[in-house]
Amino acid sequence: MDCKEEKLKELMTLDFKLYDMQLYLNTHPYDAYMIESYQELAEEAEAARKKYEEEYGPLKAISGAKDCEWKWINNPWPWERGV
Amino acid sequence: MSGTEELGHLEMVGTLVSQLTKGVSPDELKKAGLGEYYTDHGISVYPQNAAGVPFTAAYIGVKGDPVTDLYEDLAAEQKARSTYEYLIDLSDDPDVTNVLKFLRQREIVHFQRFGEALRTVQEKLAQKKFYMNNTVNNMMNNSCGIINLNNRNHDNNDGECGCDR
Repeated sequence: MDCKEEKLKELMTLDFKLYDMQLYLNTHPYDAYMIESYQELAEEAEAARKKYEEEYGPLKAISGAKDCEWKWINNPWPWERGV
Repeated sequence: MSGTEELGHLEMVGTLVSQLTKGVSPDELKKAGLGEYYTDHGISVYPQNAAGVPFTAAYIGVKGDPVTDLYEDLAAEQKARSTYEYLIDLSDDPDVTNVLKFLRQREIVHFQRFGEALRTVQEKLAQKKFYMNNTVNNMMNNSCGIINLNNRNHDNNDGECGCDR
């Protein structure tokens, strides 16, 4: 696994944690500890996403909008990896 | 929200199938029991069940009643869990089995969350409800101005005004 892939996996791990917390908070909206953890993790994920995009390019089509060239299609699709 | 995640699962399973069939010859596909699939879809990913029946919206149950719909969701999660377990039984490839194990876990988490949602709905429905009554209903039902709907159609409705005493 190269550095780029490793960083992406870290980011995906953070996003997945956040998503799972969202599901939990849907049915436990008054769990103050979880809300606090969620906010902390959301900040961490946002910073990691920014750092990743600065280094390796856009993760979503919309985050590449500030560039002057269309980079979104340059990376391999997920199903083209690891074959 | 879980529905969005399920569409992601569809993508993950599709990716798995796409990776497994990449560069496989039609002859090998035929030997693996995928000759019919190859005839209809080549090696592209097509949403169909193990017996070749295509996915349709008819598999999604929506009734508009929160209790009914949540039971439908709960059943769907369990059916997905069972299916993943059968697939794990059939798989001898750890790269496939690990993905299936992860997906199986997710269905269990969804079942848990839907169960909590159902409990919330049932608790809400079990609460005593009080309605301020308008004049017409006053005349039709009782004279006290309040009806407790929970007492309707129940044995403890003794024909009196039905308000909470």
